[in-house]
Amino acid sequence: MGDAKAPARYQTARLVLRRPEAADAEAIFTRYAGDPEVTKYLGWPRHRSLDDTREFLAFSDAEWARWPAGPYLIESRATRALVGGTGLGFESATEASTGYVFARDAWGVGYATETLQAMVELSRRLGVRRLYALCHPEHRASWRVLVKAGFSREGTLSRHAAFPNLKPGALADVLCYVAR
Amino acid sequence: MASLATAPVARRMQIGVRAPSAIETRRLLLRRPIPSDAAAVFARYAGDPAVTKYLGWRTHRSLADSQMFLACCEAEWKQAGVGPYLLQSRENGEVLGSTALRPLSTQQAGTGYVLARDAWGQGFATEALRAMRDLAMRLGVLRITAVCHPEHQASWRVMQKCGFTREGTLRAHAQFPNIAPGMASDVVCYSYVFDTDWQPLVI
Repeated sequence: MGDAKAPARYQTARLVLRRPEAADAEAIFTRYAGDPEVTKYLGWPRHRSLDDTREFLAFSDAEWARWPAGPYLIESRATRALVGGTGLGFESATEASTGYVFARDAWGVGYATETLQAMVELSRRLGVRRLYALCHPEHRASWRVLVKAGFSREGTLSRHAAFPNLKPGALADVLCYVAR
Repeated sequence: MASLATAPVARRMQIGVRAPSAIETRRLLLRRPIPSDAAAVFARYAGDPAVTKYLGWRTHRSLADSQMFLACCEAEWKQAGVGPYLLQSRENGEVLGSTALRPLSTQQAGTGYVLARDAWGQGFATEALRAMRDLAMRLGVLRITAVCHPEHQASWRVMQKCGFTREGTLRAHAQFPNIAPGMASDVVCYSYVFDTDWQPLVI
């Protein structure tokens, strides 16, 4: 078994990953969670108001209370600006999923790869044997990042995942990647 | 990314779902288990190491394990409106094995099957899996999945016969306590999709 609990702060070369707090609601909402473009391929509905973001923060606290880790916010070490979100979604002591979302002005600079590598490292420390990520088949930028971070595709899950910002109420086929 | 920060997965299907407590196929009666089935469950399949080798639960060591299983069945049926079924021969009433339908979310369900040794090789698993597949469709499920050990060819043949598609091998996803206790093992995943618009994705 690994460590019991993940650190609330985790540094990479250019980023700080930290556990979300109640005071983060506004920044999360304005920086990425309310933006239709950055949330297009995500598994949760875009936030329509701060209440949605507060609900996410309550969910985050519940995850952190129940499991070794939960959602993380991503900040630039240089500017302290919030650039996105990631985390570990535990399903059992040995299995978790991950994912990432970035504010539009934080795209294309390798933050996703850096973040994903941190999640792999962290998950190993916590005793996770299977870390996977789901990705929309058309979201090529996202599965490129997964491959760069050392994930490989294990299959296509048919009608498995909801993409509420693309097609509300429907289940779509989804690519499944696993950390090696 | 699809799974992060989503609401906790619903553990039951649409509200009000109630599966029939008995289903007849050509040679089988599939029925909701009752507490007095414990002795037959234990003697016919759950206590047999050869039968349970590739399953996700431990071979039953005593009648108490089978009684516990039946208590879990009861709880599952009450909570989800569906759950495990015992497979009984329509010809002689003998318990031949079991199967189940398990809600994984509002539109997804999982299934599996186990058969007593003397019931192998006669197409009973195929008959049972077809019954679960059809039940899932009637209950409005969009996707039904089954996983099996990569070496358990007899099992994935059954899925192919029932029209399931192999989706891939999921790494360290399942427990096989009778083969590799305490380990997370790779597992082959099959699914059947009821969406008439669905076509296999080509990338």
